[in-house]
Amino acid sequence: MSKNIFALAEALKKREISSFELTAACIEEIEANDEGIGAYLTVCKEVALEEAKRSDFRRAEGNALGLLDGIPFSLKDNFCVEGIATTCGSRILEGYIPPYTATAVKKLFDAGAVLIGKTNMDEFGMGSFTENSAYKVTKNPINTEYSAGGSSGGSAASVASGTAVFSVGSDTGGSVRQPASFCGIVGLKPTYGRISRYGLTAFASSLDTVGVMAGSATECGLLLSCMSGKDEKDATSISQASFSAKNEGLEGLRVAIPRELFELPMSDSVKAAMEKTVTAFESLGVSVDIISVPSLALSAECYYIISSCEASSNLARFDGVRYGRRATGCKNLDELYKKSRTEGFGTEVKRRIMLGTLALSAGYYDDYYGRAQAVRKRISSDLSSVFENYPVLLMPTALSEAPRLLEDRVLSKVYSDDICTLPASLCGIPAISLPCGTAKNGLPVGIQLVANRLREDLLISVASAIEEDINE
Amino acid sequence: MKRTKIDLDALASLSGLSLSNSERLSFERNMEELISFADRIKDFNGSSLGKEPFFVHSEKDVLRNDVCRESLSSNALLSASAEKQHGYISVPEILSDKGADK
Repeated sequence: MSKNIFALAEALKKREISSFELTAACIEEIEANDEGIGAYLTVCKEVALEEAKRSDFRRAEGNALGLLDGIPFSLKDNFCVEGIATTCGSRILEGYIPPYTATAVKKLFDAGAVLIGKTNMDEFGMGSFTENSAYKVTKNPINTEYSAGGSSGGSAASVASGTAVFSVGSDTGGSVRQPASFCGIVGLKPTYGRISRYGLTAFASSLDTVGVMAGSATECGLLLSCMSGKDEKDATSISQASFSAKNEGLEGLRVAIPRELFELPMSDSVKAAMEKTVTAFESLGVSVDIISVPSLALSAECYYIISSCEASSNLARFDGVRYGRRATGCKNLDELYKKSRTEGFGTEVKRRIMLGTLALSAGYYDDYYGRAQAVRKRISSDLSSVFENYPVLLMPTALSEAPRLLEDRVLSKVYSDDICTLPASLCGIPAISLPCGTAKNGLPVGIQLVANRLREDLLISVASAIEEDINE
Repeated sequence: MKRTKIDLDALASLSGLSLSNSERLSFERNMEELISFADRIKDFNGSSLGKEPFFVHSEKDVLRNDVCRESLSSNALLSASAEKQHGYISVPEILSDKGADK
């Protein structure tokens, strides 16, 4: 059976399947095969089946809540759900049970969606391969010798393996788009502020964005409609947050490819994907030009400085006092803080906290944090100018298909290789990754479309128009 | 005052962490590499951009009015803490009979 939200909603409406059957099938699949993939940290079996039964009952009474009623989904483990463990992939939150539910998740619950489980992630969102989780490594369902990407690797793997119809993740520097690309599904990062961050554990507050993964752009649009909106509990959610999809024709549209990203060394499969997408656009009457945006070349350095600085501040709250792991045998408060954090955080988290602390300290602040903010301002200004003539940008999502798991990697190269997803994050603008064929080894490859602030309507229209053609 | 060599233990302490001997060696290498990576940003000249800071969106003054509202219950919040007494979170002593401790 198709795992498309719309097809399933129709099947549920026609009573061809019940939500209970659908949910039970997902859980059976998890129990049979997730050990080999490692997508989930928590499976909410009893709660999910109960909610599925409630959905079926509503439908039987003629009170179905809408298209998402009864549809099973998974949730990255940095979103709080009342009564369900939230670890952020970290030992420091082992056993933490939130007393409240994230606004974005509550909206899905209000729409009747059924939470199947919490998915694995790089610790606190810091990583590109879901290898930095304190609990397990997530493997790519297409080929389990390869990475599912990160940091929302569990979410991407859950949708790609058919154990969830859609997933909600977080995207700070590409953490929804890149794993979507590696796993052959669609991943959308909306405009910063569209979806409330209340209940999403903060990593880098000016970059964190709630994102969605599903089988198609239209499904992502539906999810965005459900989850977006101003939230009093999130001071950074924007006034014009609500979203409605609309269909726009593409004739006459101008698309630009930034040269600084296009001319980077990339795998043959990514190059081919870009060429295929250009051909698809041109066949629809869309013109595609290569343009230069030199400031994009510093995206990685800018992002890693700013995100590490913000993380060093945000993660200061994890000190063993109010929640999370508390070290034992401490003689004083300072020892309690240090021992709890040292025992609770993994290596990558410690590295980034220290980098952020350094960049914010006297003697370094102006040269690193101050300058990174200036670069960010320049990138944002340059892309705003580009959007005046080119409403949509095209670029790779990642410079290659998924790498092998647990390879030896050079840290600075890992950071640099994230460059394609970082400009949209730094500017707070929407971006979507679409699957675009496969590499010779069968692993999926993705391309990325980027639009100006609040132009998810255009982004999803364009994505919907080409996604079938480019993924043949 | 810029340090020419990073005092890793001082940096770790500022970060609320302590490093083991083996961690110290690998972090020394990592930090050198990451600082070289971050150093590439020093060549950027942002003088033409003006002094106004960057805002990720156009809305300013986003704090809500200073009005008391219902929030999460104390019991719900206390339930997450490892040690509590009499409705308070308990921690190792901060002040002793001998005066303020660090």
